[in-house]
Amino acid sequence: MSSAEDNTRARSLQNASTLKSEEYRERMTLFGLSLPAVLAILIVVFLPIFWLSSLSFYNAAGALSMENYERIFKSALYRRTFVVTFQISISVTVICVLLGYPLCYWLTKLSDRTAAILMVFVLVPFWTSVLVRTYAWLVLLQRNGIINSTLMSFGIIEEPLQLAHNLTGSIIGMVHIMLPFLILPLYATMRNIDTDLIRAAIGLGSSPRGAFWRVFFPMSLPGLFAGIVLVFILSLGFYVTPALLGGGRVQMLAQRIESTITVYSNWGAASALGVVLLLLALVMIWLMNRVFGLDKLFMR
Amino acid sequence: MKKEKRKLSLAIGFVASSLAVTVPAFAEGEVVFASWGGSFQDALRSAMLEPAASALNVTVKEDTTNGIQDVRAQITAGAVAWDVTEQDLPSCETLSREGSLEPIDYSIVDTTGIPEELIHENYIGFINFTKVIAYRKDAFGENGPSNWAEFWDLGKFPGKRGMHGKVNYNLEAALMADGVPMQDVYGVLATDAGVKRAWSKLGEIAPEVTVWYRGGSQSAQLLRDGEVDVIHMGHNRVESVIASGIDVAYAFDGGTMDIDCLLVPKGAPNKENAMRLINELLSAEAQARLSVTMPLGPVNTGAFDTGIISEEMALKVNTHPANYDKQLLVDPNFYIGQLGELTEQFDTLIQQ
Repeated sequence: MSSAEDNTRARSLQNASTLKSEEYRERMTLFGLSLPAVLAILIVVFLPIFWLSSLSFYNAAGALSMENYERIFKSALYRRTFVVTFQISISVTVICVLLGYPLCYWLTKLSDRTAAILMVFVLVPFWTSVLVRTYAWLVLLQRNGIINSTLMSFGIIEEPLQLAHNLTGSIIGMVHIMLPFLILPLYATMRNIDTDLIRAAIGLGSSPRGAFWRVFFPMSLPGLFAGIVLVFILSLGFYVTPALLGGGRVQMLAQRIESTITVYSNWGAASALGVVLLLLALVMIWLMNRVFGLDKLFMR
Repeated sequence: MKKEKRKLSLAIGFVASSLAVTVPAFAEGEVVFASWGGSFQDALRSAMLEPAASALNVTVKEDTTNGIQDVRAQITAGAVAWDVTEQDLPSCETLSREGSLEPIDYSIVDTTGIPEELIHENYIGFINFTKVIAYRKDAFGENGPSNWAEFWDLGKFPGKRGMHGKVNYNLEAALMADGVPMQDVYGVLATDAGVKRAWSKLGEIAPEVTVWYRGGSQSAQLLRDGEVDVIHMGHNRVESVIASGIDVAYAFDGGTMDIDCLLVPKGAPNKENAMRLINELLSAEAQARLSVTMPLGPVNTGAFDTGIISEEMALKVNTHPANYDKQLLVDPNFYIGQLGELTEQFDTLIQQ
């Protein structure tokens, strides 16, 4: 009996050690498989960021200094650039939500076939170069452009509206470019919401409006937040659209980085701006995570 | 025009890529030349580089430059690949002050016909670019704003304005609008009070400027599409807008004339051929051939006597003796050392 017991124990020990070594082997295989990706990220993402950040602590003469950061925080120009960058990014995000949410909701109400066709209309501009779309907006928005000439020929306006070469033009162009980034994750989330739940809510006595706000809307939030984060963070680094539609007067951070390089021919001055932009983006993601709980979204 | 080709090089160091090689039948030796690339360098090749290669019997290798940082990188790395390169005036002056240039050998380079103010110890003028005030006749008729005071006069000449989106040329324009005679502009800008005066005059027009453009092609688009009624822009671009059938008028008076120059980086491998090539590039014939290809200004006034440029065409060239003195020659010394500060002040002024 005792020998049988010993046997079992020995076997289970053996099993445990086999399990352990197999687990170890599996872990090593997984590690080995992901090693190229980890190395690639380390080399092409973290090293350059580290290198760029370290450059920002050197002045034009190559000496260690905080000069580059002092310039950013002291000068009214840089403060204004940050304010404008955030102002534009927030406006673009809000407008994208106001346009994108009803559109996605409507798409879920349509038959799969129709919705698929309409999604193509969302996606096709997404495949066109940002530069091309920006120029297209210029053609539409400028003084003798299609919108102004149409409105004037109908007698709706007397004088052409100033739609391009300002903040308005930049925001219009950016909303168009950013909209798919909101629609794609939001629509994916909405499609997966079980419509039976809404029927059940109505069956249990809720009004259709109540069912939407208390059942559908909360379930669509993870997709909405993912879209908001994408749109906002991408907007922070915009360059081409404000440069072409802003008339030279709208200057976002990316444009400031460019002009800093050309004017100072000093990497440090520009990389300091890059570091501040990166930190701001990280802080925004952290804040959004605190408020919206993005980790739930990504861990699902 | 060259500005837009001067794309920002985002990589430290440079990648030397041979664009084209011009080899005469029995080439002896070679010389490497770098300019701004694109259609501009194509014009240089057919008008100047190919004839020079056969005249000198050397192989002319070409490369493209993004500006001063390329020259600096070659010198710092101790690997100078270019014998001759074209750069803008402030870059030439800056490199010259840094001691990064070989002196021009004036026993080889013939300066006949080249204005004295363009001849320097370490570099020499190559091509002139002028920005002029151009207006659409459908907005102003025949008598539109044609000097700086009128450009600033919104009461008499209401209409949308376009200006160069960088600080260069704008302070000069503001002072001329404020009544400073052209020849005194840099004298006034040499004092703090004068600079302040220029900023306050520029501040008057700034809110009324519809577009501060960045590239030469953008300025042409603005004028062609009627986005602005009057604009300060490259005269060769204005000519191309006129050629496309738009009714536009311009005058050289008060135009801002800037220059690209030729230089030889310190330690250039083929120094003697470099000097011989510069001599060819500045010859009256080569300069005339280029201005026929593109209406840019030859620095060599002899170009107008070669018979290559027709009388009618010559009057449209900014360096023609009838036009030259009407324009303000930009002084790079004003910008060197304070370009960063001036740019920040300018951007603050125009920023929305």
